[in-house]
Amino acid sequence: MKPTRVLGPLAAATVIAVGVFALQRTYTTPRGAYGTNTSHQLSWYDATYFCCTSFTGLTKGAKVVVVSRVTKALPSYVVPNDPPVVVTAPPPHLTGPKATMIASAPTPLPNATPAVHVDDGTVMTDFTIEVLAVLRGTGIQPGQQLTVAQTGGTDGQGNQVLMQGDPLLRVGDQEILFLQQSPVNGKYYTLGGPQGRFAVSAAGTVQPKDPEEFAYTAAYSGKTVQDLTAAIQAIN
Amino acid sequence: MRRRICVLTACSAVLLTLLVCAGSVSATYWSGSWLWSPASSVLLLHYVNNAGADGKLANAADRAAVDWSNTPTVVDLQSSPPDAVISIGLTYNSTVSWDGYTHIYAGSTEIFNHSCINPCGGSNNYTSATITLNQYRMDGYTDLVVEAVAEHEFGHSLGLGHAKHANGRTTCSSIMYTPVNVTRPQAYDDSNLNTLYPNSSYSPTSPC
Repeated sequence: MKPTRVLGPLAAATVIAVGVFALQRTYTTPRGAYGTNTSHQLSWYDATYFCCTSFTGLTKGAKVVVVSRVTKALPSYVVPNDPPVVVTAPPPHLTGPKATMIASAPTPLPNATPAVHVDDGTVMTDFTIEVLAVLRGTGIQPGQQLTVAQTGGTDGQGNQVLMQGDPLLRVGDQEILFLQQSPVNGKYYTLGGPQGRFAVSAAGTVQPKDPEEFAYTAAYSGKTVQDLTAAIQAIN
Repeated sequence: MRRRICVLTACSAVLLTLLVCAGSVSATYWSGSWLWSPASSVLLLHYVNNAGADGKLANAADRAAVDWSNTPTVVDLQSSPPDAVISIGLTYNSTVSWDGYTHIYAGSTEIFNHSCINPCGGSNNYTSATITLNQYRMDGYTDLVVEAVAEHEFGHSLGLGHAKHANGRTTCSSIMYTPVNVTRPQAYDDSNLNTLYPNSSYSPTSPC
């Protein structure tokens, strides 16, 4: 038997394996892409949502679901953080082996020189959308203009802050939005951030904004607006 | 005979591929880490709890720190404002759906890569982190859920990403899921922290 019969597949597999390994080591998604901004800082929010775990939950949680067109972007603004009110807790009562380890640790590993940051607030941007169709909910009519608030935008120094997986709305785009309304100021916002956003293509198909993070929305990638509408309206 | 050898060789090759790939898939991390040496026994990080205007959230943040400190990892989070490298703050924002977010800094530079598969992109470089909790949303949550959100954010501040692999979401139970669906750090989270901050006392175990 020629050695190449054995070595060939082995070599090929090794090349594939090393290639896959290298790809995984360097894997980053567009969620973490930095872009080409050079004159100003670009930073990211990586938010935690308690909503939603299913398409049913998303649909039921929304006050209204609309097909919309973004017509206007307003200037960004900052929702300030509360003034700090410091509270100090006693050292934790630890259990298990760590309690012993800490007691016997000669010197804790030194931290970097304490230089803690305190965030000032959250950059937000309001958009005006035109309602093209109402798929679920009441109190909203086609043709109506709504103000939708979104996390992210440009701060007073020209620095851009974006939400991971939830790019800012763009004027002219059509999206199906699952909306909630603030009882404080009446503005709308998408439920679950990117979970409540499905881009509508010129061909009439939909694309969830962050299917990688929220797998339940991925099932609707490439479906038609009619398919998504039927799915929404089938939920009681 | 030759064909059998070829088939066996090809099967071995496929197995080798799978082994290499499986071995390399771990979890997602933010690039970098806090200063750490495997010879150290404890990663002591001080935080300042600025959330005192809302007792419910402030207490939940302190409990979350204890929860992480009690995991079988090197992590020890202690409240100490003068030495703090992690700050916890509040906002009241009624026009968003998020409960909290975290920023990590290496000096004045923010850590922006949140999706490394396996630890990547430098180490020992974190100098501070900020956690912002949304008072508006969490006022409607139970104490346990608020604590879980704070645990999730502390997990980010330690360098953990959201619970998923290169090929999608993990099926492991994890406090690093979003949406948050458990109320304590899980074995998967402990294992990932032990990968990021290795110490012989807390070797990575079964990830689930």
